[in-house]
Amino acid sequence: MKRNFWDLLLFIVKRVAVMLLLVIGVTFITFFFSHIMAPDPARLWAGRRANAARIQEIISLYHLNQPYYVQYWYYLKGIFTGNFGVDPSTGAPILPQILSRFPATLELVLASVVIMVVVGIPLGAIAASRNGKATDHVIRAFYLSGWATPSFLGALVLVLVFTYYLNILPPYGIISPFVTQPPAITGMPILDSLLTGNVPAFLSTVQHLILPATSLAFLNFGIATRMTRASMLEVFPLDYVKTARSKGLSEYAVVYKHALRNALISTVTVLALLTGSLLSGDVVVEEIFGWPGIGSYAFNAVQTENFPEIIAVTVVFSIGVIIANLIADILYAVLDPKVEWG
Amino acid sequence: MNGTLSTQRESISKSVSGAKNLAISTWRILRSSPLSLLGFGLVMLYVVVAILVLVAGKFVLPYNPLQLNAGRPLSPPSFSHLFGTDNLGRDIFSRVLAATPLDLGIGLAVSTLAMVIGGTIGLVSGFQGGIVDSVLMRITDIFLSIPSLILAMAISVALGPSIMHSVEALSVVWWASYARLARGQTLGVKNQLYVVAARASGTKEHIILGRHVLRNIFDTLFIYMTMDIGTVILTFSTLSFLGVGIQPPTPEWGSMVINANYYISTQPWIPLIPGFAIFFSVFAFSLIGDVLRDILDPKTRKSML
Repeated sequence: MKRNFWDLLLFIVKRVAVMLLLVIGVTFITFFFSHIMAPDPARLWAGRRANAARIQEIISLYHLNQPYYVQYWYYLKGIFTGNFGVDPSTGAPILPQILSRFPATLELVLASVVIMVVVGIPLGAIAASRNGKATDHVIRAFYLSGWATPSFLGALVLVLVFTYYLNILPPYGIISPFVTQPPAITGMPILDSLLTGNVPAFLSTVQHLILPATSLAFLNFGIATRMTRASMLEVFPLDYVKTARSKGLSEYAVVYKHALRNALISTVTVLALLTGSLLSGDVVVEEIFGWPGIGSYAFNAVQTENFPEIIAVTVVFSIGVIIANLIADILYAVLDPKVEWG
Repeated sequence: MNGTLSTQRESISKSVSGAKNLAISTWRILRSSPLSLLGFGLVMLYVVVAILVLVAGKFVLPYNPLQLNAGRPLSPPSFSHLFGTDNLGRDIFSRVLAATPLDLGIGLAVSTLAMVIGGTIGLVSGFQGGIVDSVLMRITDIFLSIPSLILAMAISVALGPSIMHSVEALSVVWWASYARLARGQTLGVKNQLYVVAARASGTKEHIILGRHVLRNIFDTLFIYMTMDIGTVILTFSTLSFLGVGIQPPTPEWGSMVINANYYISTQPWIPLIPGFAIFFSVFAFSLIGDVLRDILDPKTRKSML
């Protein structure tokens, strides 16, 4: 069995190489739709209100009058050197804007992953241990409801209940403007206020985080629940679970110590697969809650038909998904003793 | 007692036709789970409404869905306006009903297209193996790593907003998961004994592909497609939320929610009712997928009977 340090290193190097290939593939697909399929690429990249002179400028800036392979070369070079083009309305480069909004999005997505894990996995374990009984049906109805709720509807209902009826949580923003703002250390206000020991700011960020993170998690936790349930039902008939039962261990110990621990390995992978769906939902949730991250940036870009920004967000989010999958692959290989490295 | 019962059952199963048998087993499966029954009923309701609106729209809808000031604007649900009216005085009940064929149609069109394209790619990939498989699966991986809503959004903006472009954009992002699924299923089937036997008896490869492999993986793809119809509707309505799906005033559930989200605190029924139309369609199609699996899979069907 190949499981020493060098095999693991080789495994990681191989995965990173595959990851780079995937990133190049993503750039090719976005290039295909933005340069080849689009009816009028120059107008798309120049913006709707551009005049003829501006369009000529854009054509030479993005080399749009060259053959496709030359265009693609410049496009690829731009992305790998961090040049995603310029904002058609202001002429400002795009990448710095996305980077400055990145920590806010990371804070929101990580918070919703935490909620998904804390709520979704135990629910799946309970459903599996009560397979076919009323509890199982109720949990299934609950996670299907989450799955079936349009992201904008879920967010609107949460705002309706917690802001307008109960008036306990703020509907908008990442931190109250009335507290001392924490300095930008990580860029995530919740961590920054914690690091500087700014208690009022920290409480404010937590309050602001609850509704958006819950809406984002609610839409996706069903898959974590379903996966946990399915993989636990798979291990229940296995010998080691039967042995645990026949040893006279309590049902609690059998389900949560023996079965769940094994089921978790495949759930880790599924959580990574959810990144794409989380980032899709992020666009809607950020817009509704006025969250200052990449999602609301993408929403504004669509409203103003700011095409270079849309393409930049597409590429950046895809890279996010690819990195999440890479991390899950590596975690899976480390956690599951049956996987060979190398 | 036991003996007479089993002979009775045998004679019953011999006498009734195959269709009736299917109906009986369907009913048993539905009866076993209240959620499945709910899903089945809801899907039937949606399909019947869609067909009625399509065939006899004028007679089914109480008001013209585009007519302004059909009632006092922003009036709450009442007998004359079952779901109330929106800010332009249009009848929400008529608009929700009128949107059914469009939303259901797009769900069906995109998931069918995705199944045909992705299914073919996965089938060829799994059956051929080797370099063809590697190339096709790497391409699939690339599509799977782009968040579907974001790519559909970018494509819709590039092509310009219209119903056809939304269908195209969604199909482009939707096929990849079918390719994955079909490939996995094909790999499971292609080394089964009956395939080996067919090949040994001189059956041509394309006939094996169609008659033995495709026919065996089709049910799984079909079940997945049914569950997917709701997900497509969900994503399509989100595209409308972003402003790149349907253009007003065409009634569509997603855009009805978005155009009314300012009224969430004062007249909540205006955004909530079309929102629930989306919710129940996704819910129903996910449930019906489970029912279909129980009906189509001979193993579970036997255990149910």
